Amino acid sequence: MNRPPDVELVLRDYFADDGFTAPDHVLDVVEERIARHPRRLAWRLRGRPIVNTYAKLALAAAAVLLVAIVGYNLIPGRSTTGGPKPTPTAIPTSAPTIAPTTAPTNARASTPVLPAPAELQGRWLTDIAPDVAILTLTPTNFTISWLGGDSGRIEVEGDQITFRGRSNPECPSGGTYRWSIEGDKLHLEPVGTDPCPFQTEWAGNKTYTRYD
Amino acid sequence: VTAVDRELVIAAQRGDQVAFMDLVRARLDRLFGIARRILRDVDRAEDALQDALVIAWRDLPDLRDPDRFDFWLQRVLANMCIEHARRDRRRYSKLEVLELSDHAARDELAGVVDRDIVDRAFRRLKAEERTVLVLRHYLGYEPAVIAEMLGVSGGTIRSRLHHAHRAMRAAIDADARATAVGGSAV
Repeated sequence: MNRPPDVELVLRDYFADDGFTAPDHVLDVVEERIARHPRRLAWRLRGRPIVNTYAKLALAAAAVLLVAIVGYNLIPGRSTTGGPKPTPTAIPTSAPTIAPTTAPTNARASTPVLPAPAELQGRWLTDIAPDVAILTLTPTNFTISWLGGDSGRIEVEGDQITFRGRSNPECPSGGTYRWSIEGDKLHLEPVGTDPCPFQTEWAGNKTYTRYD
Repeated sequence: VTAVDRELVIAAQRGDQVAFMDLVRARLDRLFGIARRILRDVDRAEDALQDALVIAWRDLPDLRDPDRFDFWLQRVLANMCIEHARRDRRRYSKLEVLELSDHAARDELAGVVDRDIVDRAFRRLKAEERTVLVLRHYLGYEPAVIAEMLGVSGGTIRSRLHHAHRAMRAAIDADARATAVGGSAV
């Protein structure tokens, strides 16, 4: 009986070049993606400073000046002699929009499906290893740029948003998340179990930062 | 890395996308070959390669020695392939053995072993083991180099190689036994 072939030789043959070439569109896609990839923003998200020493000093000086001005105006009695008080509209307008258009969970059945509110729309960014994820929300659609990426429809009901991605044939009903915005942070928290595995990876308990 | 490539790497690190694309273009088939061999699927290999190249573009400023660009790029790709394979495993956890996508490659290996046998055995391995086999037998790296590339210990690599070889050996032996008694192994 013949001696069985050496497994290393078999593997070397198995892996031998077979003339396969990469499809042309691979380069096109990469070129298009890196052209819009925010390299510097990615650094910032990963905790790397992107400002030079002078800029840092200027920022520090500005911060100290700001604290001094605020502190000076907070001294008792100063408000009577100080400059004009800020008008009520000077309070950040984000306060009322921070909370989603509140709709108690038990009232969902009667809450109509509406386009995403203005504060939810735009581009949001977070760092999910091994890449930066960019979530774009329009009134009725979403796009996620992360690894393979996905896009599809969204439905917003009060504080809940449902993503129905086109790349998720295994979960046509999509996955629902409770959203909340605090400052420039968007937090997504799953409502129940999202049957879409890929979606869970970029949306489940993730906090995004507003990009634009 | 040639002197020209070295200049291209430095330019790409400074943000020159054309230089980066030139570097990638010259290596694309080789990189695609690595991804396709690890993932055993053309479409997934494309996805993994694209993601790896975007990550490479993003992280290129971190590369301290431009002469190690190829090694570094292969490391990014190998890790991305493992990441994709893990994700696919989660997504398609019920599929133990995937269908062959490279039908053109069905022929005999070393004149003795049917490629399907080797292919099936290879696909049953964990992504980490497949990656180690590709790095060892396709790219020819020593275990110590593979350990550095994947960021694990040399012992882990030797262990993965040992297990992968044993699994492949078992599949080939089983095929040989089936052939010896006149049956068909496929």
